[in-house]
Amino acid sequence: MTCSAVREIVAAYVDGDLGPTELNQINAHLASCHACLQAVDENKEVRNLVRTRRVDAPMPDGLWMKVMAALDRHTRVRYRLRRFAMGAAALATMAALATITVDTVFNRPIEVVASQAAPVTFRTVYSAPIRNTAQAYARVLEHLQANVPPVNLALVGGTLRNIELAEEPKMGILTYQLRGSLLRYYISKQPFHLPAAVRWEIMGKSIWVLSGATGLLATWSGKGLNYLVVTDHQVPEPKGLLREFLSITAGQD
Amino acid sequence: MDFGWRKTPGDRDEFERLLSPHASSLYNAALRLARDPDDASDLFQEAVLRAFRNFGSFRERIPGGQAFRSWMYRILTNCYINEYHRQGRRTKTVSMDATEGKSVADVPDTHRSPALAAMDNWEFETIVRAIQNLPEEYRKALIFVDLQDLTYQEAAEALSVPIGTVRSRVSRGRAELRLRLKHLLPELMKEEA
Repeated sequence: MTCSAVREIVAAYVDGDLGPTELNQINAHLASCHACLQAVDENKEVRNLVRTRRVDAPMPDGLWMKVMAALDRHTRVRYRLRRFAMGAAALATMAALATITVDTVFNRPIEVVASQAAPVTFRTVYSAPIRNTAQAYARVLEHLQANVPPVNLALVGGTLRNIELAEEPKMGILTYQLRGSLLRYYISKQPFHLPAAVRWEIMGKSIWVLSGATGLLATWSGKGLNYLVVTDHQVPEPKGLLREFLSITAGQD
Repeated sequence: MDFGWRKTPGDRDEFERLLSPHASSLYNAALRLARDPDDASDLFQEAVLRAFRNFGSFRERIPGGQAFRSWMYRILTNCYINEYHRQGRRTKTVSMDATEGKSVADVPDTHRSPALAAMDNWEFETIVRAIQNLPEEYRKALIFVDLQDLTYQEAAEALSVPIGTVRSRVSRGRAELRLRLKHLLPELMKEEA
């Protein structure tokens, strides 16, 4: 093996990435070539310098969520394109009919019992009379902005009685079966787009999640608006506030 | 954590499961390739969506999620080349001739980002800046092998070049990097010697 050939693979030699044949050849060469031996040392020197000082940057807040939401949109785009108009009309009708009172929802504890996990209980964090979904969005967003640290939350829940208005595939809504200990859906204080609606099934109940332009999710039923606020536990908890907030909030019809 | 999601079209959940362990690493690769946090976020998202669109064919070719990391890196690299390099969104391209023999101090700082600056790690910043100003092929090889911990085989797949080419580029890149750093970090270089 020549000196020039050694210099082409010196990094792989330092990194232990050579096969036995090349390794034997380069070792034989290094035994008698001081210059290449020095090249090995120098390569190792800069390699160690880079690797020992290496620091990774954290992902920007919300990027992962944004990308996951984009995957959701991509997954559902064919449904949404065809069904959006019908769904919007149905939801608007329901919104007009519903008289929503967050108060009555939040003050009713609920247990979301997963089939393979411990119960999750929810408690009230906010209550206010709500007359329609638009106001519900606004009130809950206002509350989150005032009281919740800038973390990524998931807000899901609500029981919808008038399911016929949103049955698949009329609205192109996807149905998920809840089996984990917590619902997980993403919500951010920063606007991002979500599917028009998602139906959850918890303990045999249908739970719908509707998205708004603010990024908030809200649902309502014929009896009243229900909220469950849950989070992905991988989200860092700032100063204990999130835990308190998530101890957890919800309502039950 | 298994939430028991029913599979959605495109096997979204399976894709997320495979992607999650590599997300931070891929973002950092995007940051180092694009050199700018905003561009890095766009690049990361674009690569993920492109990968998702092609996830079905990937699973058919390589069942079980093997080689997912190198596949993702290849898509990231292609996105970078297609969308950033060609459109001139990169802040600067340094030719091999232009920087030959120069120290890092001679080359404009095109990398410093708030994300990295916030780390208060000037040594690493200096090293990264020196890497960023290497000739492009050396730069990408060092980013993947030394900063992202890809194996030579993975880097070869990500860069779509033979493994021997990666070995050569890393070898030459480290030699060139050493020349540039020895003026700026002489004490550190002695420590590592």
